[in-house]
Amino acid sequence: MGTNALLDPSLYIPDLAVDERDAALRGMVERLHTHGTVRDPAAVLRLLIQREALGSTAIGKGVAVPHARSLAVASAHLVFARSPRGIDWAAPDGEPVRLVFLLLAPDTAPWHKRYLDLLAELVSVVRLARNRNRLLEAGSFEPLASVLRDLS
Amino acid sequence: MRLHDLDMLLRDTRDAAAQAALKKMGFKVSGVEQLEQARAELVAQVDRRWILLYDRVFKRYGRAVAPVKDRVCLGCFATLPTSALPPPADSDAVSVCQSCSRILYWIG
Repeated sequence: MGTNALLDPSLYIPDLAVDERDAALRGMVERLHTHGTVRDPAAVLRLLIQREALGSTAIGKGVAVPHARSLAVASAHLVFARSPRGIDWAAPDGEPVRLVFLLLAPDTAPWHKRYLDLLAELVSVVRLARNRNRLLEAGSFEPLASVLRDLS
Repeated sequence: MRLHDLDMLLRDTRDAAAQAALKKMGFKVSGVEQLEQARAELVAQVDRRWILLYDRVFKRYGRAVAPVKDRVCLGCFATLPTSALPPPADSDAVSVCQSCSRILYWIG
Protein backbone atom coordinates (compact mmCIF):
# COMPACT_ATOMS: atom_id res chain seq x y z
CA MET A 1 0.00 0.00 0.00
CA GLY A 2 1.40 3.39 -0.96
CA THR A 3 1.04 6.60 0.95
CA ASN A 4 -1.66 7.82 -1.41
CA ALA A 5 -4.16 5.63 0.36
CA LEU A 6 -3.10 7.07 3.73
CA LEU A 7 -3.44 10.71 2.74
CA ASP A 8 -6.66 12.65 2.69
CA PRO A 9 -7.10 16.43 2.41
CA SER A 10 -9.50 16.34 5.34
CA LEU A 11 -6.68 14.96 7.51
CA TYR A 12 -4.47 17.98 6.95
CA ILE A 13 -4.37 20.55 9.77
CA PRO A 14 -2.41 23.55 8.49
CA ASP A 15 -2.58 25.57 11.69
CA LEU A 16 -2.65 23.51 14.87
CA ALA A 17 -3.42 26.21 17.43
CA VAL A 18 -2.27 24.45 20.60
CA ASP A 19 0.92 24.63 22.69
CA GLU A 20 0.86 21.24 24.39
CA ARG A 21 1.58 17.78 23.08
CA ASP A 22 -1.50 16.08 24.52
CA ALA A 23 -3.80 18.78 23.16
CA ALA A 24 -2.20 18.34 19.73
CA LEU A 25 -2.70 14.58 19.86
CA ARG A 26 -6.30 15.05 20.99
CA GLY A 27 -7.04 17.38 18.09
CA MET A 28 -5.52 15.01 15.56
CA VAL A 29 -7.31 11.94 16.95
CA GLU A 30 -10.60 13.85 16.94
CA ARG A 31 -9.99 14.68 13.29
CA LEU A 32 -9.58 10.96 12.55
CA HIS A 33 -12.71 10.19 14.53
CA THR A 34 -14.69 12.67 12.46
CA HIS A 35 -13.15 11.13 9.35
CA GLY A 36 -14.46 7.72 10.45
CA THR A 37 -11.04 6.13 10.91
CA VAL A 38 -11.01 5.97 14.71
CA ARG A 39 -13.89 4.27 16.53
CA ASP A 40 -12.85 5.02 20.11
CA PRO A 41 -10.94 8.30 20.23
CA ALA A 42 -10.48 8.25 24.02
CA ALA A 43 -8.82 4.82 23.90
CA VAL A 44 -6.55 5.78 21.00
CA LEU A 45 -5.54 9.04 22.67
CA ARG A 46 -4.71 7.15 25.86
CA LEU A 47 -2.59 4.68 23.88
CA LEU A 48 -0.70 7.50 22.14
CA ILE A 49 0.04 9.16 25.47
CA GLN A 50 1.23 5.81 26.85
CA ARG A 51 3.49 5.51 23.82
CA GLU A 52 4.90 8.97 24.55
CA ALA A 53 5.61 7.86 28.12
CA LEU A 54 8.02 5.26 26.70
CA GLY A 55 9.99 8.03 25.01
CA SER A 56 9.12 11.12 23.05
CA THR A 57 8.14 10.55 19.42
CA ALA A 58 9.76 13.87 18.53
CA ILE A 59 12.84 13.11 16.42
CA GLY A 60 14.40 16.57 16.41
CA LYS A 61 14.54 19.39 13.83
CA GLY A 62 10.99 20.39 14.78
CA VAL A 63 9.38 17.08 13.78
CA ALA A 64 7.28 14.59 15.76
CA VAL A 65 5.94 11.29 14.44
CA PRO A 66 3.49 9.89 16.99
CA HIS A 67 2.32 6.42 16.04
CA ALA A 68 0.25 3.47 17.23
CA ARG A 69 -1.59 0.36 16.15
CA SER A 70 -4.99 -0.23 17.65
CA LEU A 71 -8.06 -2.35 17.23
CA ALA A 72 -9.99 0.91 17.46
CA VAL A 73 -8.51 2.07 14.15
CA ALA A 74 -10.48 1.05 11.08
CA SER A 75 -7.84 1.71 8.44
CA ALA A 76 -4.31 3.08 8.28
CA HIS A 77 -4.16 6.84 7.92
CA LEU A 78 -1.75 9.69 8.31
CA VAL A 79 -2.74 13.01 9.83
CA PHE A 80 -0.38 15.84 9.04
CA ALA A 81 -0.41 19.01 11.14
CA ARG A 82 1.67 22.14 11.21
CA SER A 83 2.11 24.30 14.27
CA PRO A 84 3.43 27.76 13.42
CA ARG A 85 3.89 28.49 17.14
CA GLY A 86 5.64 25.21 17.89
CA ILE A 87 4.75 22.60 20.50
CA ASP A 88 6.82 21.40 23.45
CA TRP A 89 7.25 17.67 22.64
CA ALA A 90 10.34 16.84 24.75
CA ALA A 91 12.40 16.60 21.59
CA PRO A 92 15.98 15.28 21.86
CA ASP A 93 17.34 18.59 20.52
CA GLY A 94 14.91 20.68 22.61
CA GLU A 95 13.38 22.34 19.55
CA PRO A 96 9.63 22.98 19.56
CA VAL A 97 7.75 20.79 17.12
CA ARG A 98 6.26 22.47 14.06
CA LEU A 99 5.53 19.41 11.92
CA VAL A 100 3.51 16.51 13.30
CA PHE A 101 2.75 13.28 11.47
CA LEU A 102 0.34 11.00 13.27
CA LEU A 103 0.43 7.48 11.87
CA LEU A 104 -2.33 5.15 13.02
CA ALA A 105 -2.87 1.65 11.75
CA PRO A 106 -5.27 -1.15 12.60
CA ASP A 107 -3.94 -4.14 14.49
CA THR A 108 -4.72 -6.51 11.66
CA ALA A 109 -2.70 -8.09 8.87
CA PRO A 110 -0.78 -6.81 6.93
CA TRP A 111 -0.24 -3.88 9.30
CA HIS A 112 1.52 -5.87 12.03
CA LYS A 113 4.74 -5.54 10.06
CA ARG A 114 3.91 -2.97 7.40
CA TYR A 115 3.33 -0.37 10.08
CA LEU A 116 7.00 -0.24 11.18
CA ASP A 117 8.21 -0.24 7.57
CA LEU A 118 5.97 2.70 6.73
CA LEU A 119 7.03 4.53 9.88
CA ALA A 120 10.68 4.12 8.85
CA GLU A 121 9.95 5.43 5.35
CA LEU A 122 8.10 8.42 6.75
CA VAL A 123 10.93 9.27 9.15
CA SER A 124 13.48 9.01 6.35
CA VAL A 125 11.49 11.51 4.25
CA VAL A 126 11.10 14.10 7.01
CA ARG A 127 14.73 13.85 8.06
CA LEU A 128 15.70 15.62 4.83
CA ALA A 129 15.86 19.40 5.32
CA ARG A 130 14.56 20.11 1.82
CA ASN A 131 11.46 17.99 2.48
CA ARG A 132 10.82 19.68 5.83
CA ASN A 133 11.10 23.08 4.16
CA ARG A 134 8.64 22.04 1.44
CA LEU A 135 6.22 20.80 4.08
CA LEU A 136 6.53 24.01 6.11
CA GLU A 137 6.07 26.24 3.08
CA ALA A 138 3.29 24.34 1.29
CA GLY A 139 0.28 26.59 0.87
CA SER A 140 -2.22 23.80 0.37
CA PHE A 141 -2.65 20.04 0.70
CA GLU A 142 -1.52 19.08 -2.80
CA PRO A 143 2.14 20.22 -2.66
CA LEU A 144 2.70 18.65 0.72
CA ALA A 145 1.05 15.42 -0.40
CA SER A 146 3.52 15.30 -3.29
CA VAL A 147 6.39 15.24 -0.77
CA LEU A 148 4.89 12.21 0.98
CA ARG A 149 3.73 10.31 -2.08
CA ASP A 150 7.23 9.04 -2.73
CA LEU A 151 6.77 6.58 0.10
CA SER A 152 6.22 3.13 -1.31
CA MET B 1 -9.60 -3.79 23.46
CA ARG B 2 -7.53 -1.41 25.60
CA LEU B 3 -5.70 -4.35 27.19
CA HIS B 4 -4.97 -5.81 23.77
CA ASP B 5 -3.57 -2.51 22.44
CA LEU B 6 -1.45 -2.09 25.55
CA ASP B 7 -0.10 -5.64 25.25
CA MET B 8 0.82 -5.06 21.61
CA LEU B 9 2.69 -1.89 22.62
CA LEU B 10 4.46 -3.84 25.36
CA ARG B 11 5.33 -6.55 22.86
CA ASP B 12 7.00 -3.97 20.63
CA THR B 13 9.07 -2.73 23.56
CA ARG B 14 10.28 -6.29 24.26
CA ASP B 15 10.87 -7.26 20.65
CA ALA B 16 14.54 -6.86 19.77
CA ALA B 17 13.92 -6.37 16.04
CA ALA B 18 11.21 -3.75 16.63
CA GLN B 19 13.43 -1.99 19.15
CA ALA B 20 16.35 -1.93 16.74
CA ALA B 21 14.11 -0.53 14.00
CA LEU B 22 12.69 2.19 16.27
CA LYS B 23 16.15 3.11 17.54
CA LYS B 24 17.43 3.40 13.98
CA MET B 25 14.56 5.79 13.23
CA GLY B 26 15.60 7.96 16.17
CA PHE B 27 12.97 6.96 18.73
CA LYS B 28 14.16 6.36 22.25
CA VAL B 29 12.09 3.73 24.06
CA SER B 30 12.38 3.20 27.80
CA GLY B 31 10.17 3.26 30.88
CA VAL B 32 8.51 -0.11 30.26
CA GLU B 33 7.80 -0.38 34.00
CA GLN B 34 5.36 2.51 33.72
CA LEU B 35 3.52 0.67 30.96
CA GLU B 36 3.43 -2.53 33.00
CA GLN B 37 1.98 -0.55 35.89
CA ALA B 38 -0.72 0.84 33.58
CA ARG B 39 -1.47 -2.72 32.47
CA ALA B 40 -1.79 -3.93 36.06
CA GLU B 41 -4.19 -1.09 36.84
CA LEU B 42 -6.28 -1.91 33.79
CA VAL B 43 -6.37 -5.63 34.64
CA ALA B 44 -7.59 -4.77 38.14
CA GLN B 45 -10.64 -3.08 36.61
CA VAL B 46 -11.71 -6.06 34.49
CA ASP B 47 -13.76 -9.04 35.63
CA ARG B 48 -11.35 -11.81 36.67
CA ARG B 49 -12.99 -14.46 34.46
CA TRP B 50 -12.37 -12.35 31.33
CA ILE B 51 -8.75 -11.83 32.32
CA LEU B 52 -8.28 -15.59 32.74
CA LEU B 53 -9.81 -16.16 29.31
CA TYR B 54 -7.73 -13.35 27.82
CA ASP B 55 -4.47 -14.74 29.25
CA ARG B 56 -5.28 -18.28 28.12
CA VAL B 57 -6.04 -17.25 24.53
CA PHE B 58 -3.11 -14.83 24.46
CA LYS B 59 -0.73 -17.66 25.39
CA ARG B 60 -2.18 -19.85 22.69
CA TYR B 61 -2.30 -17.42 19.77
CA GLY B 62 -0.19 -14.41 20.74
CA ARG B 63 -3.28 -12.22 20.38
CA ALA B 64 -6.35 -12.67 22.53
CA VAL B 65 -8.68 -10.28 20.75
CA ALA B 66 -9.78 -10.56 17.14
CA PRO B 67 -11.74 -8.01 15.13
CA VAL B 68 -15.04 -9.08 13.59
CA LYS B 69 -15.92 -7.77 10.17
CA ASP B 70 -18.97 -8.79 8.14
CA ARG B 71 -19.63 -11.47 10.77
CA VAL B 72 -16.23 -13.07 10.18
CA CYS B 73 -13.74 -13.55 13.03
CA LEU B 74 -10.50 -12.14 11.64
CA GLY B 75 -8.57 -14.38 14.02
CA CYS B 76 -9.64 -17.73 12.56
CA PHE B 77 -11.80 -16.53 9.62
CA ALA B 78 -14.80 -18.53 10.77
CA THR B 79 -18.19 -17.05 9.97
CA LEU B 80 -20.05 -16.32 13.17
CA PRO B 81 -23.55 -17.73 13.66
CA THR B 82 -26.40 -15.25 13.28
CA SER B 83 -27.03 -15.61 17.01
CA ALA B 84 -23.64 -14.03 17.78
CA LEU B 85 -24.10 -10.35 18.55
CA PRO B 86 -21.85 -7.63 19.90
CA PRO B 87 -22.37 -7.06 23.62
CA PRO B 88 -24.18 -3.85 24.59
CA ALA B 89 -21.78 -0.92 24.74
CA ASP B 90 -22.57 -0.19 28.38
CA SER B 91 -22.03 -3.78 29.58
CA ASP B 92 -18.91 -5.53 30.85
CA ALA B 93 -19.73 -8.67 28.88
CA VAL B 94 -17.58 -9.86 26.01
CA SER B 95 -18.38 -12.10 23.08
CA VAL B 96 -16.15 -15.00 22.18
CA CYS B 97 -15.57 -16.79 18.89
CA GLN B 98 -17.04 -20.27 19.21
CA SER B 99 -14.47 -21.57 16.77
CA CYS B 100 -11.17 -20.25 18.20
CA SER B 101 -12.18 -18.77 21.60
CA ARG B 102 -10.70 -15.38 20.80
CA ILE B 103 -12.45 -12.42 22.37
CA LEU B 104 -14.29 -10.57 19.63
CA TYR B 105 -14.09 -6.87 18.87
CA TRP B 106 -16.79 -5.82 16.43
CA ILE B 107 -15.60 -3.38 13.80
CA GLY B 108 -18.21 -3.77 11.12
